[in-house]
Amino acid sequence: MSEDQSPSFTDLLDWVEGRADETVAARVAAAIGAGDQRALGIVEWIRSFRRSAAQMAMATPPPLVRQNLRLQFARRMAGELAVAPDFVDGELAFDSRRDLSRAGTRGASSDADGVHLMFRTAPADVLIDLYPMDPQTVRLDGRVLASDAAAPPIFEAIVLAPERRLRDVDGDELGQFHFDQVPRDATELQVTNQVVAVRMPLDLADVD
Amino acid sequence: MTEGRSHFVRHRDGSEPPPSDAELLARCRAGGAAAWDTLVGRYERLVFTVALRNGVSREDAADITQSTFVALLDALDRIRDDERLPSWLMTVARRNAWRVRGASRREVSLDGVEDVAHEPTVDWETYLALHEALGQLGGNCRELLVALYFDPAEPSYAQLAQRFGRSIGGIGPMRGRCLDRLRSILGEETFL
Repeated sequence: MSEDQSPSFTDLLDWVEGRADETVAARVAAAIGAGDQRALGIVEWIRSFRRSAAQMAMATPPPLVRQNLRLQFARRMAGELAVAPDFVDGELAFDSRRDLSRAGTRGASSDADGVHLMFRTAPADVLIDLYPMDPQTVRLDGRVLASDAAAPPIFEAIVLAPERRLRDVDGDELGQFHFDQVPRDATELQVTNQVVAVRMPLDLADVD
Repeated sequence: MTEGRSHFVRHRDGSEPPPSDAELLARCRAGGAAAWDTLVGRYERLVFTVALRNGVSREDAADITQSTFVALLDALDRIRDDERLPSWLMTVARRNAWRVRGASRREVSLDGVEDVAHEPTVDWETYLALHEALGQLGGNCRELLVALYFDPAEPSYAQLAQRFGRSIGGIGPMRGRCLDRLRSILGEETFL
């Protein structure tokens, strides 16, 4: 088969990927059937490329990475040193275990709704919802509300327990973060967006 | 090209090919934040994947991705061969991953817990050749092939048509021409 009659690369690709119409498919099949070496070589290359690509599919990093790198670049270009911010201690402004009990509504909202906390600092408020999972762990859903609307919105969160350190790097642009299984002996939660860093005490023993 | 326009918005009219790595690096050296963002957007998945493929956790892979790009920031003025950026990034990412794995192994051994991390079988030579060739291909072709064959989100032809400012019917022939060009760069024997 001459070069002119041999199917084009795109026709061969369409055929390999099942996108060829009947006419193209018939032409390619005829070329392959006739032992067209050029077509056979391309088909084999395409198949090998697709196999390799499938084994090398890329994973997407959490959006926190991009946010931090934007910040790093801006700081570098401004000649600033990349220094981690000092921690600000969160002040417990609301604890549903304590405040709903005082208000006489504890019984109605505790079991199904979990425990709700709010910590206050000047640069950000942190809202935390705690739900019992099993005798050893609780689920923790959090959200950081930064005072400065222009602050980087994505936060990394870290939970510290005596023997463990858990990290969530998959925070979202709403400032939300999440841990499925926080050990009940955890003592501290930290959140940071590399501009603001807040730490808060945790007491999870009676989350039920 | 104007600083401040996002990576994907730039593609929508289809009239202007994405800047080369060399162009982006030059703009980064001049302080262009949008160029830096485009460069990170172009290679963050490659670096993150290389880290993961070297057996570290997702959290560590995120750290390694950051530290690899910070190393690039440090080396901006020293990088001579701008067109070999993918292999430079992959090398730094792998080195960082080995360091993290080494550290975590030491910590794990102290705890007496079995180390389950393992090096997945990856043909790094092919991986490197492929991404260098994609870097050399550059432009819309690189973006399209990465989206079609390496993006786990598997964007549809309709989504790609919108992204590249083309008709849906134009995506198939475009991918054919782009892949054929990649084959020319790689050489026919690369995967055989």
